[in-house]
Amino acid sequence: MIEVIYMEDGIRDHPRSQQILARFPRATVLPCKHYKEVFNPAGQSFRLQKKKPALILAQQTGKLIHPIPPSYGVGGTRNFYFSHLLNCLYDCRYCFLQGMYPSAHYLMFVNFEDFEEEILRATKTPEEPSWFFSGYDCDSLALESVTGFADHFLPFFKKLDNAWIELRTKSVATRVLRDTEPLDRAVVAFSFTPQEISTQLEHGVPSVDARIRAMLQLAEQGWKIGLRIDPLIDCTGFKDRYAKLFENIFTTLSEHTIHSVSLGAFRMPHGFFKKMEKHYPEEPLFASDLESKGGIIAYRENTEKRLKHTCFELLEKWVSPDKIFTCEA
Amino acid sequence: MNFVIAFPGEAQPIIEFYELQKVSSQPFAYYQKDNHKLVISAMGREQTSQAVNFLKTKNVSPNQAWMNLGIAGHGSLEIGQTFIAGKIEDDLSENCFYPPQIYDHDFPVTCLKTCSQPSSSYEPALGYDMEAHAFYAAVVGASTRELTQVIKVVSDNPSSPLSQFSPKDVPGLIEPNLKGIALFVEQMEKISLEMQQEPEVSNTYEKVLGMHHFSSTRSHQLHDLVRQANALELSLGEIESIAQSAKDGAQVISDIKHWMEPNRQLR
Repeated sequence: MIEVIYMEDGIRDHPRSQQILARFPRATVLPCKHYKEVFNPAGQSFRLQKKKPALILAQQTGKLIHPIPPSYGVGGTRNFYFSHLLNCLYDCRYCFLQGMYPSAHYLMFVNFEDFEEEILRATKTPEEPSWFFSGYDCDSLALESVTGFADHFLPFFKKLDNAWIELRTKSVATRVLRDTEPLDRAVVAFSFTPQEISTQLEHGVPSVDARIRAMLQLAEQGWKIGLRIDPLIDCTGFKDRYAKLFENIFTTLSEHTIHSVSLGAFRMPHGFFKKMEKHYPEEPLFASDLESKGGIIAYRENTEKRLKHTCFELLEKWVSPDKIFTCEA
Repeated sequence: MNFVIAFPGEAQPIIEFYELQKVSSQPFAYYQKDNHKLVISAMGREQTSQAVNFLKTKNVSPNQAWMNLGIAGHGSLEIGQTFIAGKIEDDLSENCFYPPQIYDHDFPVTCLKTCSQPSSSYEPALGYDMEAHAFYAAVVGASTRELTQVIKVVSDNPSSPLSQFSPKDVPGLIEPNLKGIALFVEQMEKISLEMQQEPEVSNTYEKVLGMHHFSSTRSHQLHDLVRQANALELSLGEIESIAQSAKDGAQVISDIKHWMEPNRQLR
């Protein structure tokens, strides 16, 4: 799976680096001084690298956790994200990573302990709980067999009494969760679009049915489940397709197992969108009825309202409205 | 494919394999057949950079495939072994290149150091040449890094050092590796094609552009609209008809937008 591993000189002897190297004994290991030498140069093709991404092992320095606007949360007021990994196993055509990063290589930061220290600092003072979102720059679980991220961080979060963690995923590789006693303050959030859209846009992602089955297993075990209906994609038969998706989900899972549902329409910073369009000029999604407003490319206001309103109404049949959150750009 | 090769002995097997014809001798020996182009640069950084720049003038479209091919010393690989440069260092510069490895092949991928002088000392897992770094630096910007690769065949190593090497042996080192190299070249060419703009889009755009006057902004808008119509699998012929009926460039843009509007939903 991983044929080339670039490794920063400074973390060659890190135990986590050594564990990962042992998992890929046949991989070519190429040293680098700093991951930016490999990851950052201009003139790389994200699209081409997606065919065979390499793994970069590095150490993250500087600020390790970042605040998130309240409108992106699911009930909490102190929201942060942190990224042990940049880039994703999957290849979703709407994903901002394609526009944000110059490289599609998986960039993993092995210094988990430094992330923990910063999370501890952030949770020390306030009385209200903090939320930590781990699936912004990657899928939280899809590369678990490589990173061991959840295996490491779940026990850490279990010890924190005022911190929540959200693992956001499209993966069905949930063994690490099945092997762990559910945490009181953890949400396993699955992202969905209707299967017809997923087939067109979410390359390499397990089917909707497979993801629903994985959710059911975790819900039955006691994990709190999040649904992330984001991005909403305008399409022919929009209402019917989303109605079918919600029906499939909610006839399988009981409402009480659902912690939260979030809705957000497709939107993208203008600069990211232009890069994505350049990578994939033949992509119909980028020829949708979009407009640029305030540096963001999004559906026209009426369209966005229609998509959100339709889904909100559809969801209200299945889940209490106070569990539904709308993400604004 | 654009081959940049230092010596005639390294180039000869490639010239024969692809049946390249000599096109010119000055400023560099230049060979071509169909989409294969080859330039013989001579040894060293400066010559290599100039050869790349010369070959750039023979290429009109971006994202072509580029390859620096030749012999190299190596600290641990056997004589005659082909390898891919996964990291290219330089003895005069801190700057390294990391050609992204996206192709299927059986060659080892190792580090390669470009040296100012022929090197007779060897470090394990490191190759030595005199051109690759300059080649890469010169190509960057003309093509994506994935389409810029360096392939070397080991000519000397610690047990058979450079002092024992004869230039006459070079074609004999390259020839047995041609099949594998050709498979690699084929993949690069396929990827290069994938990166080229669809000709239907350019054709329609050029035709419509010739029908009316378009300002710079409107010509960009027109190109975007034609590309989007193609992405949505709409008829590009219809765009030409709309343009023919319009009275000026502004109306072309407006009418195409209007025509596309109901079709801008994902299926």
